[in-house]
Amino acid sequence: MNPRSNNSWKYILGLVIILGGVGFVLSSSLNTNLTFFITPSEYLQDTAKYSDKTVRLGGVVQENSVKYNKQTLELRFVITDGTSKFPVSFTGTPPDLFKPGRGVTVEGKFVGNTFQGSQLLVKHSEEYRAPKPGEVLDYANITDKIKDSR
Amino acid sequence: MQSKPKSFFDASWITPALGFSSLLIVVLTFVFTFTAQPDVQQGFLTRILPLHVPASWLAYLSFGMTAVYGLAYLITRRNHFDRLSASSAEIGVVFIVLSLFTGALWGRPTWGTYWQWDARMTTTLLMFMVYVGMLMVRGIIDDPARRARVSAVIGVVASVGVPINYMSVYWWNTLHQTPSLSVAAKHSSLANPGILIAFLLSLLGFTVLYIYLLRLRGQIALRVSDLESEEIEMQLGSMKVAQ
Repeated sequence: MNPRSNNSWKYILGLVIILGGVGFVLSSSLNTNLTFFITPSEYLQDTAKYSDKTVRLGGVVQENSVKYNKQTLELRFVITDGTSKFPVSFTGTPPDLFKPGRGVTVEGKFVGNTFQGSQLLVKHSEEYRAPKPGEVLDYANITDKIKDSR
Repeated sequence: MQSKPKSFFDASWITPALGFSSLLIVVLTFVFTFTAQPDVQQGFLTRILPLHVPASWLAYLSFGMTAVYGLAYLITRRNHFDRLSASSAEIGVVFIVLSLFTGALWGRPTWGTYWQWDARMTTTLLMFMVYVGMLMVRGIIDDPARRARVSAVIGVVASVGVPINYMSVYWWNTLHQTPSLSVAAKHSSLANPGILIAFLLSLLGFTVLYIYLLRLRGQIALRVSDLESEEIEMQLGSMKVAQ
Protein backbone atom coordinates (compact mmCIF):
# COMPACT_ATOMS: atom_id res chain seq x y z
CA MET A 1 0.00 0.00 0.00
CA ASN A 2 1.45 3.32 -1.02
CA PRO A 3 1.02 5.86 1.81
CA ARG A 4 0.53 8.63 -0.79
CA SER A 5 -2.71 7.18 -2.11
CA ASN A 6 -4.33 7.71 1.31
CA ASN A 7 -4.03 11.42 0.64
CA SER A 8 -5.40 11.35 -2.91
CA TRP A 9 -8.99 12.15 -1.97
CA LYS A 10 -7.84 15.41 -0.38
CA TYR A 11 -6.22 16.49 -3.63
CA ILE A 12 -9.27 15.38 -5.63
CA LEU A 13 -11.48 17.45 -3.32
CA GLY A 14 -9.12 20.39 -3.79
CA LEU A 15 -9.22 19.99 -7.55
CA VAL A 16 -13.04 19.89 -7.55
CA ILE A 17 -13.12 23.13 -5.54
CA ILE A 18 -10.66 24.74 -7.96
CA LEU A 19 -12.61 23.63 -11.03
CA GLY A 20 -15.79 24.95 -9.43
CA GLY A 21 -14.01 28.24 -8.80
CA VAL A 22 -12.82 28.46 -12.41
CA GLY A 23 -16.39 27.81 -13.56
CA PHE A 24 -17.68 30.53 -11.27
CA VAL A 25 -15.11 33.06 -12.47
CA LEU A 26 -15.78 32.26 -16.12
CA SER A 27 -19.55 32.56 -15.72
CA SER A 28 -19.33 35.79 -13.74
CA SER A 29 -16.96 37.39 -16.22
CA LEU A 30 -19.07 36.20 -19.16
CA ASN A 31 -22.02 37.99 -17.56
CA THR A 32 -20.20 41.27 -17.16
CA ASN A 33 -18.13 40.87 -20.33
CA LEU A 34 -14.38 41.27 -20.58
CA THR A 35 -14.82 44.91 -21.46
CA PHE A 36 -15.13 46.60 -18.11
CA PHE A 37 -16.60 49.85 -19.44
CA ILE A 38 -17.64 51.59 -22.64
CA THR A 39 -16.86 55.17 -23.54
CA PRO A 40 -19.62 57.73 -24.22
CA SER A 41 -18.72 57.58 -27.94
CA GLU A 42 -19.02 53.80 -27.98
CA TYR A 43 -22.42 54.17 -26.36
CA LEU A 44 -23.57 56.66 -29.01
CA GLN A 45 -22.41 54.36 -31.83
CA ASP A 46 -24.54 51.49 -30.62
CA THR A 47 -27.32 53.05 -28.56
CA ALA A 48 -29.85 50.35 -29.42
CA LYS A 49 -27.60 47.64 -28.02
CA TYR A 50 -27.03 49.33 -24.67
CA SER A 51 -30.30 51.18 -23.99
CA ASP A 52 -32.39 49.87 -21.06
CA LYS A 53 -29.40 47.84 -19.95
CA THR A 54 -27.09 48.38 -17.01
CA VAL A 55 -23.81 49.55 -18.49
CA ARG A 56 -20.59 51.00 -17.18
CA LEU A 57 -19.52 54.29 -18.72
CA GLY A 58 -15.85 55.22 -18.57
CA GLY A 59 -14.47 58.69 -19.18
CA VAL A 60 -13.08 61.83 -17.65
CA VAL A 61 -14.91 64.13 -15.24
CA GLN A 62 -15.30 67.40 -17.12
CA GLU A 63 -13.74 70.46 -15.47
CA ASN A 64 -16.20 72.81 -13.72
CA SER A 65 -19.05 70.34 -14.08
CA VAL A 66 -19.06 68.83 -10.56
CA LYS A 67 -21.91 69.77 -8.22
CA TYR A 68 -22.03 67.91 -4.90
CA ASN A 69 -24.61 68.42 -2.18
CA LYS A 70 -23.11 67.16 1.08
CA GLN A 71 -26.51 67.09 2.82
CA THR A 72 -28.36 64.93 0.30
CA LEU A 73 -25.18 63.25 -1.06
CA GLU A 74 -26.37 64.10 -4.57
CA LEU A 75 -23.48 64.30 -7.03
CA ARG A 76 -23.83 65.67 -10.54
CA PHE A 77 -21.11 65.93 -13.11
CA VAL A 78 -20.46 65.54 -16.85
CA ILE A 79 -18.56 62.52 -18.16
CA THR A 80 -16.66 62.96 -21.41
CA ASP A 81 -14.19 61.14 -23.63
CA GLY A 82 -13.25 64.26 -25.58
CA THR A 83 -15.82 63.83 -28.36
CA SER A 84 -19.08 62.87 -26.60
CA LYS A 85 -20.38 63.75 -23.17
CA PHE A 86 -23.28 62.88 -20.89
CA PRO A 87 -24.57 64.34 -17.63
CA VAL A 88 -24.26 61.86 -14.75
CA SER A 89 -26.23 61.80 -11.53
CA PHE A 90 -25.10 59.71 -8.57
CA THR A 91 -26.16 59.47 -4.93
CA GLY A 92 -23.52 58.57 -2.37
CA THR A 93 -19.99 59.42 -1.35
CA PRO A 94 -17.53 59.53 -4.24
CA PRO A 95 -14.09 57.84 -3.76
CA ASP A 96 -11.33 60.04 -2.32
CA LEU A 97 -9.53 60.49 -5.62
CA PHE A 98 -12.67 61.72 -7.43
CA LYS A 99 -11.85 65.10 -8.98
CA PRO A 100 -12.50 67.05 -12.18
CA GLY A 101 -10.06 65.96 -14.88
CA ARG A 102 -9.69 62.43 -13.51
CA GLY A 103 -10.85 59.18 -15.08
CA VAL A 104 -13.94 57.49 -13.67
CA THR A 105 -16.21 54.55 -14.44
CA VAL A 106 -19.91 54.77 -13.56
CA GLU A 107 -22.22 51.79 -13.54
CA GLY A 108 -25.89 52.58 -14.13
CA LYS A 109 -28.66 53.23 -16.63
CA PHE A 110 -29.82 56.07 -18.80
CA VAL A 111 -32.92 57.85 -17.56
CA GLY A 112 -33.82 60.17 -20.40
CA ASN A 113 -30.57 61.84 -21.35
CA THR A 114 -29.04 61.64 -17.86
CA PHE A 115 -26.97 58.66 -16.80
CA GLN A 116 -28.21 57.46 -13.43
CA GLY A 117 -25.18 55.95 -11.71
CA SER A 118 -25.36 53.29 -9.02
CA GLN A 119 -21.64 52.68 -8.58
CA LEU A 120 -18.82 55.18 -9.03
CA LEU A 121 -15.16 54.13 -9.32
CA VAL A 122 -12.09 56.25 -9.95
CA LYS A 123 -9.81 55.01 -12.71
CA HIS A 124 -6.45 56.40 -11.72
CA SER A 125 -3.67 56.84 -14.25
CA GLU A 126 -0.33 55.02 -14.39
CA GLU A 127 1.46 58.33 -13.91
CA TYR A 128 3.16 59.03 -10.63
CA ARG A 129 5.21 62.08 -9.75
CA ALA A 130 6.53 63.87 -6.73
CA PRO A 131 5.47 67.48 -6.15
CA LYS A 132 7.34 69.95 -8.35
CA PRO A 133 9.56 72.59 -6.68
CA GLY A 134 7.29 75.20 -5.23
CA GLU A 135 4.25 72.92 -5.40
CA VAL A 136 2.87 72.46 -1.91
CA LEU A 137 1.19 69.22 -0.99
CA ASP A 138 -1.42 69.29 1.72
CA TYR A 139 0.06 66.52 3.90
CA ALA A 140 -2.65 66.79 6.55
CA ASN A 141 -5.32 66.34 3.90
CA ILE A 142 -3.54 63.30 2.42
CA THR A 143 -3.22 61.68 5.85
CA ASP A 144 -6.91 62.33 6.52
CA LYS A 145 -7.83 60.73 3.22
CA ILE A 146 -5.98 57.55 4.16
CA LYS A 147 -7.70 57.50 7.54
CA ASP A 148 -11.12 58.06 5.97
CA SER A 149 -10.75 55.26 3.48
CA ARG A 150 -10.20 52.61 6.13
CA MET B 1 20.65 9.07 -5.60
CA GLN B 2 21.95 10.97 -8.57
CA SER B 3 25.70 11.38 -8.60
CA LYS B 4 26.88 14.34 -10.62
CA PRO B 5 30.29 15.97 -10.77
CA LYS B 6 30.27 18.97 -8.41
CA SER B 7 30.13 22.27 -10.25
CA PHE B 8 30.52 25.80 -8.92
CA PHE B 9 26.73 26.17 -8.62
CA ASP B 10 26.51 23.18 -6.28
CA ALA B 11 28.51 24.96 -3.57
CA SER B 12 26.58 24.88 -0.30
CA TRP B 13 27.12 28.56 0.52
CA ILE B 14 25.35 29.87 -2.60
CA THR B 15 21.78 29.30 -1.44
CA PRO B 16 22.12 31.07 1.95
CA ALA B 17 24.11 33.85 0.26
CA LEU B 18 21.22 34.40 -2.20
CA GLY B 19 18.75 34.49 0.70
CA PHE B 20 20.84 37.01 2.57
CA SER B 21 21.30 39.23 -0.49
CA SER B 22 17.57 39.34 -1.18
CA LEU B 23 16.92 40.28 2.45
CA LEU B 24 19.49 43.08 2.18
CA ILE B 25 17.95 44.46 -1.01
CA VAL B 26 14.44 44.29 0.49
CA VAL B 27 15.65 46.33 3.50
CA LEU B 28 17.14 48.91 1.09
CA THR B 29 13.83 48.94 -0.81
CA PHE B 30 12.02 49.78 2.43
CA VAL B 31 14.42 52.68 3.10
CA PHE B 32 13.80 54.20 -0.35
CA THR B 33 10.06 53.52 -0.24
CA PHE B 34 9.55 55.18 3.11
CA THR B 35 11.70 58.20 2.31
CA ALA B 36 10.09 58.78 -1.12
CA GLN B 37 8.04 61.91 -1.57
CA PRO B 38 4.28 61.39 -1.60
CA ASP B 39 2.57 61.33 -5.00
CA VAL B 40 0.69 64.43 -6.20
CA GLN B 41 -2.52 62.43 -6.69
CA GLN B 42 -2.31 59.48 -4.35
CA GLY B 43 -0.11 60.75 -1.55
CA PHE B 44 1.43 57.96 0.49
CA LEU B 45 -0.66 55.29 -1.23
CA THR B 46 1.93 55.01 -4.03
CA ARG B 47 4.28 53.38 -1.52
CA ILE B 48 2.60 50.04 -2.13
CA LEU B 49 3.82 50.08 -5.77
CA PRO B 50 7.33 48.69 -5.01
CA LEU B 51 5.63 45.70 -3.40
CA HIS B 52 2.63 45.13 -5.69
CA VAL B 53 4.36 45.34 -9.07
CA PRO B 54 7.45 43.19 -8.23
CA ALA B 55 5.14 40.58 -6.65
CA SER B 56 3.25 40.41 -9.95
CA TRP B 57 6.55 40.25 -11.86
CA LEU B 58 7.66 37.32 -9.71
CA ALA B 59 4.42 35.48 -10.43
CA TYR B 60 5.03 36.01 -14.18
CA LEU B 61 8.67 34.88 -13.85
CA SER B 62 7.73 31.81 -11.80
CA PHE B 63 4.99 30.69 -14.17
CA GLY B 64 7.22 31.36 -17.17
CA MET B 65 9.99 29.25 -15.64
CA THR B 66 7.44 26.55 -14.74
CA ALA B 67 6.82 26.21 -18.49
CA VAL B 68 10.53 26.36 -19.38
CA TYR B 69 11.43 23.63 -16.87
CA GLY B 70 8.36 21.63 -17.89
CA LEU B 71 9.46 21.77 -21.52
CA ALA B 72 13.02 20.82 -20.48
CA TYR B 73 11.58 17.81 -18.66
CA LEU B 74 9.51 16.73 -21.67
CA ILE B 75 12.63 16.86 -23.87
CA THR B 76 15.26 15.41 -21.53
CA ARG B 77 13.08 13.37 -19.10
CA ARG B 78 15.40 14.38 -16.29
CA ASN B 79 13.60 14.41 -12.91
CA HIS B 80 15.66 17.45 -11.95
CA PHE B 81 13.57 19.60 -14.31
CA ASP B 82 10.29 18.22 -13.01
CA ARG B 83 11.23 19.21 -9.47
CA LEU B 84 12.22 22.73 -10.56
CA SER B 85 9.04 23.14 -12.62
CA ALA B 86 6.82 22.21 -9.66
CA SER B 87 8.87 24.34 -7.23
CA SER B 88 8.58 27.32 -9.55
CA ALA B 89 4.80 26.89 -9.76
CA GLU B 90 4.57 26.85 -5.96
CA ILE B 91 6.57 30.09 -5.70
CA GLY B 92 4.34 31.62 -8.38
CA VAL B 93 1.19 30.77 -6.41
CA VAL B 94 2.61 32.47 -3.29
CA PHE B 95 3.46 35.66 -5.16
CA ILE B 96 0.25 35.85 -7.21
CA VAL B 97 -1.62 35.77 -3.89
CA LEU B 98 0.60 38.60 -2.63
CA SER B 99 -0.15 40.50 -5.84
CA LEU B 100 -3.92 40.00 -5.52
CA PHE B 101 -3.83 40.97 -1.85
CA THR B 102 -1.74 44.14 -2.24
CA GLY B 103 -3.80 45.05 -5.31
CA ALA B 104 -7.00 44.87 -3.29
CA LEU B 105 -5.48 47.02 -0.54
CA TRP B 106 -4.39 49.58 -3.12
CA GLY B 107 -7.66 49.47 -5.02
CA ARG B 108 -9.94 50.33 -2.10
CA PRO B 109 -8.60 53.85 -1.37
CA THR B 110 -7.80 54.74 -5.01
CA TRP B 111 -10.50 53.16 -7.19
CA GLY B 112 -13.03 52.90 -4.39
CA THR B 113 -13.28 49.10 -4.48
CA TYR B 114 -11.32 46.07 -3.34
CA TRP B 115 -12.35 43.96 -6.29
CA GLN B 116 -13.95 44.30 -9.73
CA TRP B 117 -14.31 41.71 -12.46
CA ASP B 118 -12.19 43.58 -14.97
CA ALA B 119 -9.99 41.66 -17.40
CA ARG B 120 -6.74 42.11 -15.46
CA MET B 121 -8.13 40.96 -12.14
CA THR B 122 -10.23 38.15 -13.58
CA THR B 123 -7.32 36.66 -15.54
CA THR B 124 -5.05 36.96 -12.48
CA LEU B 125 -7.55 35.02 -10.37
CA LEU B 126 -7.90 32.42 -13.14
CA MET B 127 -4.12 31.96 -13.30
CA PHE B 128 -4.00 31.48 -9.53
CA MET B 129 -6.66 28.76 -9.79
CA VAL B 130 -5.02 27.00 -12.73
CA TYR B 131 -1.68 26.68 -10.90
CA VAL B 132 -3.29 25.56 -7.64
CA GLY B 133 -5.11 23.00 -9.81
CA MET B 134 -1.77 21.89 -11.28
CA LEU B 135 -0.40 21.29 -7.78
CA MET B 136 -3.58 19.34 -6.90
CA VAL B 137 -3.12 17.14 -9.97
CA ARG B 138 0.45 16.46 -8.87
CA GLY B 139 -0.91 15.32 -5.52
CA ILE B 140 -3.35 12.87 -7.10
CA ILE B 141 -0.91 10.99 -9.37
CA ASP B 142 1.24 8.42 -7.55
CA ASP B 143 3.50 7.30 -10.39
CA PRO B 144 6.42 9.80 -10.41
CA ALA B 145 7.06 9.55 -14.19
CA ARG B 146 3.38 10.00 -15.08
CA ARG B 147 3.03 12.84 -12.54
CA ALA B 148 6.00 14.65 -14.06
CA ARG B 149 4.67 14.23 -17.61
CA VAL B 150 1.13 15.46 -16.84
CA SER B 151 2.43 18.32 -14.71
CA ALA B 152 4.89 19.45 -17.40
CA VAL B 153 2.13 19.55 -20.03
CA ILE B 154 -0.15 21.58 -17.73
CA GLY B 155 2.77 23.90 -16.91
CA VAL B 156 3.56 24.55 -20.56
CA VAL B 157 -0.08 25.10 -21.62
CA ALA B 158 -0.98 27.27 -18.60
CA SER B 159 1.87 29.69 -19.27
CA VAL B 160 -0.25 31.22 -22.06
CA GLY B 161 -1.90 33.08 -19.17
CA VAL B 162 1.20 35.22 -18.61
CA PRO B 163 1.07 37.22 -21.88
CA ILE B 164 -2.74 37.35 -21.78
CA ASN B 165 -2.64 38.75 -18.26
CA TYR B 166 0.06 41.29 -19.16
CA MET B 167 -1.71 42.46 -22.33
CA SER B 168 -5.21 42.47 -20.81
CA VAL B 169 -4.95 46.18 -19.90
CA TYR B 170 -4.20 47.02 -23.56
CA TRP B 171 -6.66 44.61 -25.20
CA TRP B 172 -9.74 45.46 -23.17
CA ASN B 173 -11.04 48.50 -21.32
CA THR B 174 -10.02 47.74 -17.76
CA LEU B 175 -10.24 49.50 -14.43
CA HIS B 176 -6.59 48.60 -13.91
CA GLN B 177 -4.18 51.11 -15.40
CA THR B 178 -1.53 50.26 -17.99
CA PRO B 179 2.11 49.71 -16.88
CA SER B 180 3.96 52.77 -15.61
CA LEU B 181 7.24 51.49 -16.95
CA SER B 182 7.67 49.77 -20.29
CA VAL B 183 11.05 48.84 -21.72
CA ALA B 184 9.53 47.88 -25.09
CA ALA B 185 7.72 51.21 -25.48
CA LYS B 186 10.63 53.13 -23.88
CA HIS B 187 8.17 54.86 -21.62
CA SER B 188 8.25 55.75 -17.95
CA SER B 189 5.54 57.50 -15.98
CA LEU B 190 7.33 56.98 -12.69
CA ALA B 191 8.48 60.56 -12.28
CA ASN B 192 9.05 60.16 -8.56
CA PRO B 193 12.77 59.38 -7.98
CA GLY B 194 12.29 57.73 -4.58
CA ILE B 195 9.54 55.42 -5.80
CA LEU B 196 11.39 54.66 -9.06
CA ILE B 197 14.61 53.64 -7.23
CA ALA B 198 12.62 51.62 -4.68
CA PHE B 199 10.71 49.91 -7.50
CA LEU B 200 13.86 48.96 -9.47
CA LEU B 201 15.62 47.74 -6.30
CA SER B 202 12.57 45.75 -5.35
CA LEU B 203 12.44 44.13 -8.82
CA LEU B 204 16.07 43.04 -8.35
CA GLY B 205 15.50 41.90 -4.76
CA PHE B 206 12.44 39.85 -5.65
CA THR B 207 14.27 38.23 -8.57
CA VAL B 208 17.15 37.20 -6.27
CA LEU B 209 14.54 35.98 -3.80
CA TYR B 210 13.03 33.82 -6.57
CA ILE B 211 16.38 32.16 -7.34
CA TYR B 212 16.90 31.58 -3.61
CA LEU B 213 13.45 30.07 -3.07
CA LEU B 214 13.74 27.94 -6.21
CA ARG B 215 17.08 26.46 -5.08
CA LEU B 216 15.80 25.88 -1.55
CA ARG B 217 12.55 24.27 -2.71
CA GLY B 218 14.43 22.22 -5.32
CA GLN B 219 16.76 20.84 -2.64
CA ILE B 220 13.79 19.87 -0.47
CA ALA B 221 12.03 18.32 -3.47
CA LEU B 222 15.16 16.22 -4.18
CA ARG B 223 15.07 14.80 -0.64
CA VAL B 224 11.34 14.08 -0.92
CA SER B 225 11.85 12.24 -4.21
CA ASP B 226 14.78 10.25 -2.74
CA LEU B 227 12.49 9.21 0.10
CA GLU B 228 9.78 8.30 -2.40
CA SER B 229 12.08 6.08 -4.49
CA GLU B 230 13.35 4.40 -1.31
CA GLU B 231 9.72 3.62 -0.39
CA ILE B 232 9.07 2.15 -3.82
CA GLU B 233 12.23 0.00 -3.59
CA MET B 234 11.20 -1.22 -0.13
CA GLN B 235 7.74 -2.16 -1.44
CA LEU B 236 9.25 -4.02 -4.36
CA GLY B 237 11.60 -5.79 -1.89
CA SER B 238 8.78 -6.86 0.42
CA MET B 239 6.74 -8.10 -2.57
CA LYS B 240 9.63 -10.35 -3.59
CA VAL B 241 9.87 -11.67 -0.03
CA ALA B 242 6.13 -12.43 -0.03
CA GLN B 243 6.47 -14.40 -3.26
